[in-house]
Amino acid sequence: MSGVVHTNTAELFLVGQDASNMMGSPAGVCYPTSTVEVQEAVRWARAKGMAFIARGAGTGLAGGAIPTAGSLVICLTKMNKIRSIDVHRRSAWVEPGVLNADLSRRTSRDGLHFAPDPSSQQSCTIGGNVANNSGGPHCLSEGVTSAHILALEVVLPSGEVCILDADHSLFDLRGAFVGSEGMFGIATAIEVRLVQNPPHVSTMVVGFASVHEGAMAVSAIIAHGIIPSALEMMDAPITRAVEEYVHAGFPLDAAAMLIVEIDGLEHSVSHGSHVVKDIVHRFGATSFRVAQGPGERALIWKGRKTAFGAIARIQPNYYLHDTVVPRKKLAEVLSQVSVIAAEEQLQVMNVFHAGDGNLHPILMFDKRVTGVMDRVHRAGSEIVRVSLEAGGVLSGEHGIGLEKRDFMRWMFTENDLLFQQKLRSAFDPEGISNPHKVLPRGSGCADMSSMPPGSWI
Amino acid sequence: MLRSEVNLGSAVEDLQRQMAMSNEVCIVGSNTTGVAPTSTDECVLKAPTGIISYEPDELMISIFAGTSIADINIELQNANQRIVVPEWGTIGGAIATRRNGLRDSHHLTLPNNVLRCTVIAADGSLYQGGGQVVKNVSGFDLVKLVVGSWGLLGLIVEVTMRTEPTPEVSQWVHSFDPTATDQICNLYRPAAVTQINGATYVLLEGHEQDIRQQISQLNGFTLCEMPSENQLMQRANLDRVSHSVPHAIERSLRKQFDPSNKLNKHIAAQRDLLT
Repeated sequence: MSGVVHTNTAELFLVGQDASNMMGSPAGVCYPTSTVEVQEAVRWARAKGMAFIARGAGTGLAGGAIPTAGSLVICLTKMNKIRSIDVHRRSAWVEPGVLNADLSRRTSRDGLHFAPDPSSQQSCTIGGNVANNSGGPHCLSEGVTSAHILALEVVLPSGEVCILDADHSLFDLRGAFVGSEGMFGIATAIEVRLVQNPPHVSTMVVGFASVHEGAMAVSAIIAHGIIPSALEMMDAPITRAVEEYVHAGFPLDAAAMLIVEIDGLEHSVSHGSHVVKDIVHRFGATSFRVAQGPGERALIWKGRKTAFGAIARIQPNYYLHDTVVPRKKLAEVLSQVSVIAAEEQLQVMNVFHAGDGNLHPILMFDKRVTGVMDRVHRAGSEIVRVSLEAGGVLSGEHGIGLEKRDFMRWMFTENDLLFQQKLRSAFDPEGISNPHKVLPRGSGCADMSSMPPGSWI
Repeated sequence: MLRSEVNLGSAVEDLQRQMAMSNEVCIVGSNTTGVAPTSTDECVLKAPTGIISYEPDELMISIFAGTSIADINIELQNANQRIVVPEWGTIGGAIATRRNGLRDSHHLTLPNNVLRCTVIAADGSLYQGGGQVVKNVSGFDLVKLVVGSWGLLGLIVEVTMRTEPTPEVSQWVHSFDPTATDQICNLYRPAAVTQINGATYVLLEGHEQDIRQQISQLNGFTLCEMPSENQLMQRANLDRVSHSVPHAIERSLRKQFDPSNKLNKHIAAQRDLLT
């Protein structure tokens, strides 16, 4: 085993980070190609008294894939085979390193796709989606990753392998495992649900004179009993930044724009689109456009999903947040967010899943400026605070990782956390699978020892 | 803590006291799944009843777990909404036994529509999982764990559920032709497909014209009433066999959540989960 553990500085540097601003210092990295090799790696780490951490593409934003000092990184990118596709049952067994978008590309000829569609879907892995219970724009109608995982083959921290599904246990261990951020073990094969591609799709781009009116329209659409397949909002700064290089035809004069997509059978799509059109005009829409054909639709989604790339045109660095608030509080919390950013003298842009109430404020900055990181972290913590005070939660799809670990007490009682810890220790009694994440320090809950540098608080 | 403190009133506090004081507890709803006390030593605990809050515009309802599903649906009907759970027993019972009913094959079944659970643990303390929003990955998922746990991990006292707009049309069709299932592949996302006594039942939901069109594509199917969900009750049984490794995890969960084997002892015994 030690022959396949790489320890050179360059590789360790690469697997020491993810898409957050943090940096870890692993002792080694290995690249197993099978379940048996994952078992060997876990057993090897155990025997050496090391912690281990599973890693996919490293696109996580909450530091969930930042390795603890001295741990073994088990990188699953070589386990990237689609093992089988059952068109009749509409399911597939995939390895954890399969890229999210690759699976849907493979199944498109059968008219099927994997529903979770995070913005990083071109590069993130399905194993990572399972670890984070990932979302994406279309989770508004389809549900998040958990609703699309039928079964898991898991290597437990003990080194044993087992299947978690509806038939192998009374408790829903599969449901508990999804979203456990790599702390319950390593999924080495995943049975996913595939859903039918919609026969009809209507994608609308709507401009508004204010964020407030856009947010009110979002609530009104849902309250009217229409559940769009996606309902996204972008504010003016991000719309302009994206439009400059994607040329998706976004309204440059609008203070906020919505992307509203309705899909399904012919009449439900045309009825839903009419209702949406009526509602947005009632809330003062300044522009309304329906995508003509798949080309225009694809361009709109390219604009939405590559929004973060556009930020580089404005500032060299950004910090992307993720909280959820009740839909009716969207307008109020968005205005609080802009006050928070102004107080810390930071530029802020918003591009987010409005239909779910899932905010993604982006703070932009240049980290070479002295003291700027303190302001970024202060603003971030205030954004979390106002979201929770509005009745919201810490994270909608990025997870807790290291980033929000010490905010857990803002949302949960000590007893809530104690029971989360009990759940974790049923899978990992020794706390060796991705330790120090999710559960806060300073209680009976947390794993012992040190923190990776760069994490906030 | 920034979240507003859970205050579910004196009924829940009384239950917490009783839970803490009892050595053996049988958790019951309205006795539709046959969970009943097996000895007179068992203290029978039931969740309180009543709707705590309902916000139709947010598609969300908070309920005491002892509330009957029929009563919840009466409230929801006023706003043209529903929860899709077979209409017998209590909501707490449906959640504790993961009762999906005829929509079992759908991806948005009961577990995905439970947004928050408040539970009285075996020691009488209160723990909560989830939150009152539709999307949430804050911490480990105690909600998924509690759904379908048959009262072995605590007494569910409160739940927040996602509601859904009632579709314009819900139509069941059925066929006794064994080859009928081949045609179902051509339908777009039927709300339910199930086989009962050799017949294939399909539920189509949505816009009236779409449903008419979908039905016209089917050969050998006739319109029918909803099949009786009582026939599915046997499916919500306990006879599945746990495999050894997941079973060890289940035993460990039991040991930590209920170290004195207080809760629903006969179910725990049936599943070899007495520790």
